[in-house]
Order: sequence, then structure tokens, then C-alpha cells
Amino acid sequence: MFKSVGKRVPRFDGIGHVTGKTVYPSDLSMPGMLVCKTLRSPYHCTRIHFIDTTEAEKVPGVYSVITHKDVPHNLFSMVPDHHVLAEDIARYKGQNIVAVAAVDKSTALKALSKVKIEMEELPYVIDPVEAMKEDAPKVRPEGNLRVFDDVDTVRRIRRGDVEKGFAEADYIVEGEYWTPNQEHAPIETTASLAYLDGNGKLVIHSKTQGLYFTLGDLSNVFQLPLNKLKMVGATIGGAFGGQNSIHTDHIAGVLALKTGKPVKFHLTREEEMMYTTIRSAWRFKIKDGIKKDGKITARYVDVLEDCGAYTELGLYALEKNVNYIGGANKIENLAIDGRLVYTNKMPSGSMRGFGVNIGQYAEQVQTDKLARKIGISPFEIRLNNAFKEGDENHVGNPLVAVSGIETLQKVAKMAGVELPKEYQEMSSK
Amino acid sequence: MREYFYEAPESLDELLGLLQGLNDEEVKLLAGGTDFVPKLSKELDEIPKEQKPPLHIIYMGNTGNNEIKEDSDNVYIGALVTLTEIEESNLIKQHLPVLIQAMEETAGHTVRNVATIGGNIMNASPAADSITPLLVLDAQFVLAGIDGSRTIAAKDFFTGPGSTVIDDKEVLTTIIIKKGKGKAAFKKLGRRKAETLSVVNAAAYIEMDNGICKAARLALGAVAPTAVRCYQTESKLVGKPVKPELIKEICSGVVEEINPIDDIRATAWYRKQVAPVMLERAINQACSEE
Amino acid sequence: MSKVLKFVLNGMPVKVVAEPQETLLQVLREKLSLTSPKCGCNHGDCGSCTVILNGKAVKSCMIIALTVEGKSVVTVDGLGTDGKLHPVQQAFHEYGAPQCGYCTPGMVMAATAFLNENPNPSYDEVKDALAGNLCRCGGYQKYVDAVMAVAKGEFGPIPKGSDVDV
Repeated sequence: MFKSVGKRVPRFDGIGHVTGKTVYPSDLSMPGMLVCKTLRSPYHCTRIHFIDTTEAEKVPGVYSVITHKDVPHNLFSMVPDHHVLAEDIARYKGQNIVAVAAVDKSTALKALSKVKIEMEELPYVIDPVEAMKEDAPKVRPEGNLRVFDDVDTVRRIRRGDVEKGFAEADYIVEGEYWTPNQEHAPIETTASLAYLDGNGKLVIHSKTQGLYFTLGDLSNVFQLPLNKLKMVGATIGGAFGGQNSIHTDHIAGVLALKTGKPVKFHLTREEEMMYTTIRSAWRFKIKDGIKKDGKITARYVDVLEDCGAYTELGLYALEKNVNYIGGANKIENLAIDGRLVYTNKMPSGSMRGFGVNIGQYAEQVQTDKLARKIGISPFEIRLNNAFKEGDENHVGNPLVAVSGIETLQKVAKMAGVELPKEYQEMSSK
Repeated sequence: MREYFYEAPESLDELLGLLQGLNDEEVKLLAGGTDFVPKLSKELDEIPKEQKPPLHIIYMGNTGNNEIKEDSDNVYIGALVTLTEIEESNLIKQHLPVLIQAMEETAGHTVRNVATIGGNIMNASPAADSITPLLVLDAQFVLAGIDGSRTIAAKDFFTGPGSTVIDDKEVLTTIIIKKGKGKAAFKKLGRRKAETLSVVNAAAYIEMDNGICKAARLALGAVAPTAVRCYQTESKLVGKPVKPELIKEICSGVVEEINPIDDIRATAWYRKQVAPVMLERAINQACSEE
Repeated sequence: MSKVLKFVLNGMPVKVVAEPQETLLQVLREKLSLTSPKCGCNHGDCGSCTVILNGKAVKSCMIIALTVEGKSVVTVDGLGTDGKLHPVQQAFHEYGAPQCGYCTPGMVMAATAFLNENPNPSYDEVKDALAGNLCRCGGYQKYVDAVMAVAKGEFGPIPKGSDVDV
């Protein structure tokens, strides 16, 4: 019946992979190519008093040494609050401060060792809960909690009346759930090759996952019109969300513009693991009201996202999280408070599920807890509360092609669980 | 940048002669390189903090000592024999199967194909998987110098993490192991099943006579600055009938003989919990093979 | 102090100037522009740089280049004959084992060297043989299944290696 479902379909690019002929950004090189290396913040929070690059520039084989002053527009990322090269304060360990383009790696590193830099370690905060306290070290000048829409530090979702829902419940069940940071760890570390073509157009071979998003962001950084900047995507050695953020393209690009030569910036494994964006850490506090028959009457969720030192994609992840944290359950009385807190860690990027599945971990464990509380099976609690066709989701969007009940029935069957008759006869229709 | 020099002497004598000529320079004797090369690459990726003295890399791969031999009493393993060669050696299988057990759990195939037994010894890591078996086999290390060679027992060889009694003009050439009457076993606990370093490893050599332990040599790795022989525990075992409950009880006392630390692989507390268990398992296996 | 290094690469003699501190991986990628061995960690952990050295699979980032003097190195480029893929390559392709593909050249080399020495492995032996090769996409199951399929002869006989002396 199906052409491809249930069958083995060789990848369109499989031959290139098995013969080693697929070219990844980290494989690229050009005649006369320079190598980029950067000086990174040694502390979690660093005040930079003074940088002198004179001696570094004198090292034979060094073409350019740049600081934030050399970057046409020093802010980038989706919420443009991240510095290409740190200015007066570096807010996380490993943040780029100075970049060098030189004939080879050892020359670039030698030049960095000659950079005179006066720095001071500032108080820092790593723990997201500590960061919310009044007297916590300030990660960002505007405060450690993100202000949404210039008015409020809480992103709120409200539906029905949770207090009324809790009053109607037979039981109140609470749970607190934490998830850690996670590195994407692609096997290919981030690499960029930037050069000026014969007509002065800046070309960047990039590992980006979002070519046009990166193009727009970088045209702002370089202050170049779009017809003067060309991004070249590629088959890449894994991204897992980590390449939605820019790690090397911006610096390689600025250095190519400065030197007029091809510049490659290829991160080491250590840099990739320690200094690029990560999945943020989250805390969820869930309070549910439930009736003896298994119906959830109300749910309150307190969401806290540890965003790291810059917003990057953390805001987008939080927005998605609060929209979905209620779960695939029809809950009439729902309140969600989402907060985004800054800490002195590498910024939060996107990673596999973009804040949604991480919330589902907490929500699903909590739902099992509810089932245990009233003594029904994990299937029954989910079937009791499942969305049906035409229901509105928690933020008011009508749901179409709903098949949650049918999916659960099938899963039960595959797991060898015999559902009671009334559950077998349920339908999403 | 630091200066690097490379030499590949064609014989042991040439190698020893080279060492005589290098007095103030830093020298790295290179065997398989699986420990040294990643460290070198890391150094080359870092911003240099100070000007380091030149490093002479002397490759030992062409200097012989890459065979496994035997006579009526002993097995002789050349220092440059790779871990894979030990794993695949019929001679080792026949006389020293515990070494094969240890090799099979060391790193992965691609590392064992180049890593050498001599390199693993000279690296002197407290967690090295070959050292605990060599301790319980009472191995002797032959160190060659310009004026001849001397032999040191494995138990007297290691002085700390990465340090041994060897002189910087000497080279480890051969590991001599007596063909024993008893049986030996090796147990390793890593964070994963493969390609992992030991959280704790244990080796036991037991000679039995009618259910009574006649001789015992026990060793634990990754629980002290060097791999350690557990002499007190050994003495408690000798002369006793080897029953599982008794072994368990005796092994629980081994925490007195170790001094583990917290590191990236495990805490000292955890190591103290698992060291007796690994030792017990090694003893049980060494006994059960009778 | 650089030296001239001579070895056999995929059956052809090569001569290249190498520094004492350079790894075989660096020389292959940067000096000989052979980018099929990948640099995932440069630390001997990920296995994406695996090549076959004198018949044995090794991680080329852990080998000082000058030590391969006079030896034979085979990369994935040296596999396959007469325009036909090597059975391991064919199996990986048909089983859909590679996803991003960055670990694949290393996997091919580890599997090929292993099968040359163990033509009839057990499932666990194959898993053990590939344990030094990380795949972040999570294609392990298919890689192991594909190697087992090659061992069972599903993809034809394994051709003899192309090792030759200098």
C-alpha cells in the first residue's frame, strides 16, 4: 500500500556520506586562508578595563586583531542583546573578547598571548533561584528577570478560574521538577569560512541551521546591504538546534572584511562544549486539583527558565513552553506564570523541541503522580482528560485532527495493557 | 611557539645513546602515543602562557622489544607490544589470561591497536587497567640504561600519579612475569561499558589447595596516588577457606588500605563503596576458576 | 623541526613535509587535503578520524604523523573497486545508517578493519568493535545491523585490502 512507509529508503545524500565525499563546513579551505582564534573571558563575570592589541599586531603572520570597536554593529541574535565581542563586561565564562586572524593556528594563539588586557573578576550568579533574589549579583544592567513587553517580569497564561477549580477538587497534588543544561554536542564542531569574492561581496560558508535568519542577523552586524552578503549553507555534521545561534560566522565575517582574505574560524571540541549555546535549565512547580473520577479541575504551573547571560533563543523557548506546559489535557481552569532569569552562564539556545518537550517531561511525570493519587492507571488519567476534536487549546486555538485518545489506545495495545471497556470505546471525535 | 624535535632511533642502543646527549632538554619517549598525543594537541590549541623549552619526541617504535616470548619459568612481554597483540596472543591466553581480561576492558579497539603495555606502565596512571593485573602477577620490569639493565618489581616501581623510580636516562624494555600456579582475575568498574577509564579496578591472584587459600596477591586501581597492593587484606585471606561470606567480610576491610580522591569520574565516597565489591568479585572469580 | 615523511596512502606512495607535533589526521586533512577523516574532538574520543594503519583501525588524531614513516594508511577513499562501493559502504547506505554522516567515514573504517579480521562476528562483538566511534544522531543500531548483514554475505564478498609497501 505504501511506497516508503515501513521500507528502507536510502538517503539522497547517503553515497556521499559512505564514501567520505560529502563536504562539511569544517572541511573547507582556500588558498591564502587565515585562521581565527579568540581570547575568551576567563571568569564567569569579567569587567574589562582596558585592551591593548599593539604587541599582538606586531607578531609576524598576524593580519588583524579586533575588539568590539572593530565590529560595525556589535549586537546580534534573535533578541539582539548578545555582543559579537564583549564590551565593558563579559557575562559568561568563554565569551569572546578579542579575535585574531593569522597565517596559522600557532601564530594566532601567540598573538593572543601578546594582547594586553586589564580585567577584573566580578561577583557572579550561576543558580537561577539565587539569581532571582534582590541582592543577587546583576547579570544584566536591566535586572536578572526579563521584562516581557516592557511591563511585567511574568509571562502569564490564564484560562477560567484556578481558585474555583482548586475548590472543586477532591485532591490537590503538587510537584516540583528540574531539568539540567544540556550541550548539543554535534560531532562536527562549529566552523565558518568567510571571504570577499571578486566583486567585494562577503561570502560565508556557515554551519547555520537557519540560513536566512543568519543572513538577516549578520547583515546588521556587518552593516552590509543584503546584496553584499551571501550565506552558503551546507550538509553539516549535526546541529540539534545549536546552529540556530551564531557562534563563528560573525567573527569570521568581520575578520574577512578587515583583512580582505579568507578567514576560517573552527571551534575546538572544548570550545564547542563549554562556550556555545546550550539547552537552558528549567524548574517547573505544578499544582493540580483533581476529582476522584480522574478529572483535572485546575492546574497552576510556575515556570522558571535559566536563560544564561544573554537572551539568544531563550525567550522563544519560554514563549513556546508556557503555551504547551498545560499538556494535551482539557483543563478549564488554568494559570501559568513563566519567568526568564539571567545567570552568568553561556546563553540558552534552541535544542530539540525548543522548550516544549522539556515542559512535557514535568507535565507527564506530574500526570502519573495524579493517577497514583486516585488509584487509576496512567492510561485512564490521560484518556479522562484528553482533548477532543474541536476543543480549544489552553490559549484559545481550536484543535483539528485530534487523535490523542486513539494514540493512547494504540499504545496500550502495543504495551499489552487491556483497557476497561469504556476506555476502549472512547473517541476523539 | 615551542620548538619540537623528532627522532626515530633504529635500535635500543641508539635510543640510549640519544638520551645521553639530551641533558637539559625536555624529552618525551613516544610509544603508542594514545595518552601523549591528545595532551599535546590540547597544548597546541591553547594560548601559550609562557615560552616552554624545546621538546624532543623520541619514537621508540623501531627499537625492537615488540614480541611476547617465554621460557620454562617466565613470560617476557616487550614494552612495545600493543594491547591488541596481548589480547590476541596464544601465549598470554595460555599462561596469563587475566591480562586478556584487562585488555578487553581497556579503552576500545582503535586505541588498543596502537597503545602499548610499556606506555600504559610508564604513563603510571593510578587508573591504568594493565597495572593492577601486573601487580598481582608480581611482574618485574626490566629497565635498560647505557651501563646495562636492572630489574624492579612492579610493586616497587610506582611512586605517584605519572611518576616512577625510572631514571630519565633509562628505558623500560621488558615485563617479566613468572608462570604461577594460581589463577588471577580482573574486574573493572567504569562509567560506561566501553571506551572508559576506571572508576575503580581490581585484580586478584589466588593459589588454592583443597579449598584453602595458599597464597594471595590483591591490587586496586584508581583508589590512591598509585595502583596499590592490598597487603593487609592478602594476609587475612591466606590460610583461610575461601567461602563467599568470608571473602566479603575480608574485602570490606580494604577501605583501610586505600586513599581515593574526588575527580571527574567519581567521588572518594563512591570509590570506597565500590572498591571492596570489585575486589570481592575479582577474588571470587580467581577462586572459581580452580 | 619539520621532516620529510614518506608513506603509502590508499595504495599510492606519498611524500609530505610534516612537523614533529603534527598528527596523522592533521597531515591528511591540512597537508594532503584529504578531508574524509573527520576531526570531531582531536582527543581520541569520538572516532570520526578512524583510518586503517597497517591493517589495524586507529584513531588518526592520536598518531604522530612522522611515526607512520614507511607504513600503509587507508582512508575511506581507498575502499571500493571499479566504481563499486565496498560492501560495508553499500550496507551502511542501504541500511540508512548515516544521518548527518560526519561519523560515517570513521565508522566505515572501523567496521572494515574489524570484518577483515573477524569475518563471522557475533552481534556483541560488532557493538564492541564500533564502541570507539560516536554517532550523535544515534544511528548505532543501523550501523551494527549493517555490519552484521555484511558478515552474513548480504552485500557480497569483502575484497582484499589495498595495502602495499613503499
